[in-house]
Amino acid sequence: MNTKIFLLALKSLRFRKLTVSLSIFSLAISVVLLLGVDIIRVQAKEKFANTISGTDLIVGSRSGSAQLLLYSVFHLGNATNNVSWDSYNKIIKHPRVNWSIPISLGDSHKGYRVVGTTSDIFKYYRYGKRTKLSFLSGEGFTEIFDVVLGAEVAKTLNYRLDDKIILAHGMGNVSFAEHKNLPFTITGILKPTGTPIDRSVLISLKGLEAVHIGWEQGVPSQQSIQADNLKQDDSRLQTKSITAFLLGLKNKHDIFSIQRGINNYKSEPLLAILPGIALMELWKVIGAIEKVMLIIAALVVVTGLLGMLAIILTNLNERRREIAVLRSVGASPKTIFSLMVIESEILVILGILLGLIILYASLTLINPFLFNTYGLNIELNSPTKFQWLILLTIIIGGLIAAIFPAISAYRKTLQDGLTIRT
Amino acid sequence: MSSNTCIEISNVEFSWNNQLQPLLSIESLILKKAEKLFIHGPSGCGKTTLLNLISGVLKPSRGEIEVLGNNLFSEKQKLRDQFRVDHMGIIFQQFNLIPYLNVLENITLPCLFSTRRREMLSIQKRNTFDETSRLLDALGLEDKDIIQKNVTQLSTGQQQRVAAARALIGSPEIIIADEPTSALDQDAKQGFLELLFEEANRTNSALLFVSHDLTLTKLFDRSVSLNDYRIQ
Repeated sequence: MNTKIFLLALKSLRFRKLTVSLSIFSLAISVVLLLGVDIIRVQAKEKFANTISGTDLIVGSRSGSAQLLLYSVFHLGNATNNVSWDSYNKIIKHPRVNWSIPISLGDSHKGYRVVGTTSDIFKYYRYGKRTKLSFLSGEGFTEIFDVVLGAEVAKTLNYRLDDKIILAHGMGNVSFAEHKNLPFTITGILKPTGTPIDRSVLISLKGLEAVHIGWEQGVPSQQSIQADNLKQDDSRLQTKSITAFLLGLKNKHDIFSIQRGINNYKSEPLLAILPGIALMELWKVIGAIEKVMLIIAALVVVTGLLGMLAIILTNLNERRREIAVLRSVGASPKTIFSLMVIESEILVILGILLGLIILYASLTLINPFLFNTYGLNIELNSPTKFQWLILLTIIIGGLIAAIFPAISAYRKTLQDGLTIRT
Repeated sequence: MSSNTCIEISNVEFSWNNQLQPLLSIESLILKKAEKLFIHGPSGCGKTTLLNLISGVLKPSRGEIEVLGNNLFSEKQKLRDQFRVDHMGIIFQQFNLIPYLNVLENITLPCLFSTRRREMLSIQKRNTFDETSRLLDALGLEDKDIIQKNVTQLSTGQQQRVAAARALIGSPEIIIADEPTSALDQDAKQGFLELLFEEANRTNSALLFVSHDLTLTKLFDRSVSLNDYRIQ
């Protein structure tokens, strides 16, 4: 009995190819949108959480934890205060500290942040699933005036190894205060990481100190500095303060006691944060957007289902003849009801299948582009539990949408009998 | 009810939604086996209601209808629907065919819903395809390709013949026709009816034919005016 109705439903749908395929297509698009938003949402969250990994503590001058995270990891905004070199040295000499990466911010190159650090960054910095920074070409800096570029910087500005670049004082694309007399040589270009490192210009702390000799007032002094002189005598290049630093501990169990120690540091007000916790706090703020996007996508699905409902209802009146004929050959009102519901469910399921095909095909197609350009790697997993739930909800939504015209058909069937009463 | 009675209607009244004035009131009407009965009356006299009552789609407000010895309305709706397809072939005035099924699928539709109609074919040692082509032939649609044709490609006359073939397939005891010829011209009417009679006779089916066209009366065994049954 059911296969009979199913076959009738299929033939009926095939007969109304145009409206049916439009309605399947609009459902497919809404499925693509809803699942697409969810996939990107999940992966953006994961990506965000993976911006930095392996670092146990981030330390900076005392301010808010979100602010410290933003400027130290995302290179957004500015520090209110610096950390003195003395304090830094004291803390990293603590026997439980395994490694440290100093970060000194303030300068820029064509809108990209210059990060003064040590070559330990290539050794200890981790992002994603404990991935080290690796080089697309060249190697880390060794000389004072060496510079390593993040992937996006090199790509956008079209730089190659051994090119010379000039750093600018402060941020901004057009800076009039440039360190013109002291150009840097590109010794390395990093592979894309999908993190703010891609947009960083990495130099040594000594290099950063060198370009600022005579800039103590914020503007260049009249005397000009020669690079060669500085290379021979680097006593003037002693770093006095840094913006923040990353710490790796020998044992994870010590994280909280070291954090407490730093937060209670007497000679200077400092703040130590756990990157994972700070990232999640920050995501809660950004996360509101994901919910809005998800709601919009869900509304698109509702629109798709309503469109399907409208098409079925419009067709219903034309189909009263057909229903009378089916009644005359023994179809019960229940059979007519199931026929209507089965037709709609076939539509919904075909819509979902087409949507999944479009979604995965387009993700497969744009994935190489996203990876090469943004270091974004959208993993093509089978749908998550939540995504299955979304699909199930759409199927049930389709069932609910189908019940209205089916009830209407059922009523008309009883009313009409074998003839049409208008 | 004697053994050669097909349909027996006694003291039946029907009215919509408890209207006081019944739409139809029939004291007694009998259709014998293999009888060709013509029922006429002007439009609006309840011809269509009568068909709905006999086919078990509408329930009378009062009275009884026995079809082939069964009291139709002692059964549930679903069983009435099954009974209808098992024992009755129905032809409408027009738009008889399901547009998304081809000629073969339209004609064999009753076999889809009725085991009895399928069994009748196997008793006659025919498969559905052969019987369909035979009926099409007998009803004057000799074109061999027509069986696979889309029904929307057919003329009205052809459509009515396909509808007749559907009513006849599997030899149901009763053929009910509701003005099946009103969309046809005078010559086609005559031809259509002759072929319909021939096939009905072959399987000994009774024919209940409803129309307002009195020129057809002479072709039938008996004719009844619905007006006679109306309460004035």
